[in-house]
Amino acid sequence: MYKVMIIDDEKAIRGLLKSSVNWELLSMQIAGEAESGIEAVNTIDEIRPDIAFVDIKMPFMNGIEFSKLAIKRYPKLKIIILSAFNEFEYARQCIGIGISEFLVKPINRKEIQETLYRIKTELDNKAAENTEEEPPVMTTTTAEKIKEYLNTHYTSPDLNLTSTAMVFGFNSNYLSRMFRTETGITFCDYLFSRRMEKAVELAKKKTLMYQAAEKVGIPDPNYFGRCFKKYTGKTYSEYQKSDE
Amino acid sequence: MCGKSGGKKHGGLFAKFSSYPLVKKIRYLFLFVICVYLAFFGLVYVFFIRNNLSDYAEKKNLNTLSAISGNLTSEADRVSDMSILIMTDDAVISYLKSDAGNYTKVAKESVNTLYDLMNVFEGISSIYIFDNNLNYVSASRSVTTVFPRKLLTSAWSQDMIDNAGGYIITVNKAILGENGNPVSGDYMFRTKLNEPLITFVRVINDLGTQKPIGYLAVNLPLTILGDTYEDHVEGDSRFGYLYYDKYIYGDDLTAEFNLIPDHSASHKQKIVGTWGNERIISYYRLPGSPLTLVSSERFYAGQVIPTETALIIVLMIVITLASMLLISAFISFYITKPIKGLVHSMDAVARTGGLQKSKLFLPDDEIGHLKNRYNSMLDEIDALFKELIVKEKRIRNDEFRALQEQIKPHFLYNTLDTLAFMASEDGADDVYEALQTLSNFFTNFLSNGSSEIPLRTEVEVVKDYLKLQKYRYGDIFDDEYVLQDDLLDFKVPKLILQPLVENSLYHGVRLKGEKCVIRISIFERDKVLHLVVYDSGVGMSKERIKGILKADRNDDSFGLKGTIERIRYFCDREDVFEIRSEEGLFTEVDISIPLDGKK
Repeated sequence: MYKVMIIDDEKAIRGLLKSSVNWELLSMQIAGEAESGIEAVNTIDEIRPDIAFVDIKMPFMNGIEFSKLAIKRYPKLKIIILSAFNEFEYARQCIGIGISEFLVKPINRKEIQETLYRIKTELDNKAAENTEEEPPVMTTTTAEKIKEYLNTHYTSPDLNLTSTAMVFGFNSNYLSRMFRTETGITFCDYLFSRRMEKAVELAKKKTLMYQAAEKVGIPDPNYFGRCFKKYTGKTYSEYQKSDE
Repeated sequence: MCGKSGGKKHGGLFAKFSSYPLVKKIRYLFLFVICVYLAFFGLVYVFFIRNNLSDYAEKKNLNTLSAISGNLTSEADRVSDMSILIMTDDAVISYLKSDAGNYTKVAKESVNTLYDLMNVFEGISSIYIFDNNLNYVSASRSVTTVFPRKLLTSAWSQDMIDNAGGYIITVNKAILGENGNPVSGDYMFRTKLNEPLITFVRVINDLGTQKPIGYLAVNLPLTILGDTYEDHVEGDSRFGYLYYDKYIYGDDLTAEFNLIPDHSASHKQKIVGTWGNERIISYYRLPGSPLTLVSSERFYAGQVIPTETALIIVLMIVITLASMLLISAFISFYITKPIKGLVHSMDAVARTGGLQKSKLFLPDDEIGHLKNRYNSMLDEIDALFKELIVKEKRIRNDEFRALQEQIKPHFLYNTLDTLAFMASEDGADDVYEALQTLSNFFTNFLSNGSSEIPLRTEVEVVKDYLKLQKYRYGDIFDDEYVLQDDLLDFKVPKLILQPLVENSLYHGVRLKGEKCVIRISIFERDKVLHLVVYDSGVGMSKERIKGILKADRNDDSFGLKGTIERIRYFCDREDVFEIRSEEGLFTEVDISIPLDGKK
């Protein structure tokens, strides 16, 4: 099974994509969705997709910026760009950054299926040569150092599993696994709770939500809002009201 | 000119002259020309006029001297005439031949003859006739002492003998001591009053044998020398006589005489003294005598340049200066002033950017033509501007039309209706509702291609637009409408509200992450229609507002800028909007359109 991720700011488009393809038949599954580039950057390390549909025009981080980041972290990732017919200016910037396919909205079911089939073939061919190397051993002190690094850098939106792995010289899979073993909590959860602790603090200070979002390293306020609700059980404004 | 010659010597001077204004240049040029004029007159005076003047003055001086000399000669001729009468007198000849002594009859007769002649010839002091033994007879007006031996022992004696009958002129002048007796001096005769005498002496020859038979001496008072030049004394001219180069009579000009270096010539002249105070000094040797006439007279221009000539020269200089002033005024009036005016009006164009023409009144000459060409150039530029504006308007119109024609509305409407029907058949009420909204939106959006639509329709477009956007993005905002009903029929350019609302949604609301309000208000205040789009989104910084107003066609935010441009065009004025915003709180775009009484 290949994992598919859909990144688009319009719920309807995401729904349309999901329902217009028989995923089982292509031995694929929808592993996750994201409403913005920011959200995708924060969840991609958990989802670990093989294929990603990326809308070219999104607020906070557009499809091209996201694709550049994602390909750097996952060079084998297949990216399919979704673009409206008048967004040629954006489309031109896609050349040469490693994007696999390019689809023009409105979405045409037949075209999507052909594209996905083409990608599946490529992935099948490559699967055979796929081996992974194991890097040096990680100790408890290293895990502490990583925690410390996260504590000081979590406000940066560029901070994530892969970037941290690169700083400490580990493979990101290995780092993720060992971090959990050493600390009893996943890397993503640790980063998430650090950010949310700060968010709660900011909410108490009456900071506007979109400004708080930027300050904790999640510059998409919509995604930040959902994260906040997940963490506290209340929306940001509800939390602020109840705090009074 | 003067700048150029000076420029070679000092590097900066020519550049400095070049940088002067035209008027100043011309003034300096004239100053230079006047200097050249004066220098020219100076040179002409020194090298030509002055030379002529001094030549003339010297000639005149010489004439004077020779006239004076002539006076003395005529006196001598008179004496000579008289002496001939004496020498041909029988009594005198008998006396001289007789050797008889002084108390004879012939001696007496001779004396009578002498007295007779003295009565005829005036101004003679005394007459003496000596025989070869130096016995003598005489006639005298005053008591005179004679020293006969001196006749043959004086400095001039040999000259007298050599002259063989011609007379020579000598002077008797004794210098007296304290006791009244002579102590020195060259004298043969001496009057009781010691007046200096001028003496004409000659040898008397026998008419037959031409052998000397005696001597004749005629004395005249020295004052006759004064008579020779008294007619020529004018101004401060001075005359004097020298005897053997020593002062003897008149003004003592020995010092002046010695200023002339060489005395060998019979006469000589010299100009001495400083500029403006010059004198002509000259001497003139009287022929056949040891007397020298010396003169000193003033030399000045007025002496020789006639007043009329001087007047003409002065007049010429004045006329030249006057004509230069006239030319200067001419150049100033016809050239520099008009150019200055023209430059001034060109500056005004450069400063203000307006194409106002030069209103100078100029004569119909080259500069006038320049002004006319300049004005017609401005006209041409103005015409080009207008043409450009017309062209630009036409292009915009064409673009808009082309955009509308790209859409074929009927096919779209019909398809949407079909889809709505299908949804309704299947009981999908929300799909039906969405399709109806879209259909409405397009109908109002296109408005059959009219470019101006009632505000009411524009509001409908906005409502449908926001409803459709809610389908896409979910319930992220509430839309509110505060409308003044009587304004809704006012016609405005199509799609002036929708782009503002779109701007609010994409640049305000969606970035906030919280539910926002978009409020459209339409009202009239002070005869101005206000269309206000408010959103409680993230707001805009001042930089962001500036950026939006500078956006070009390809930018995301061109919608707002383009709309503002269209409203400016519609109202034909610049001041049509205001953006109020507070970062993190709200943005409010306020479009104002003057109503001018129409609704």
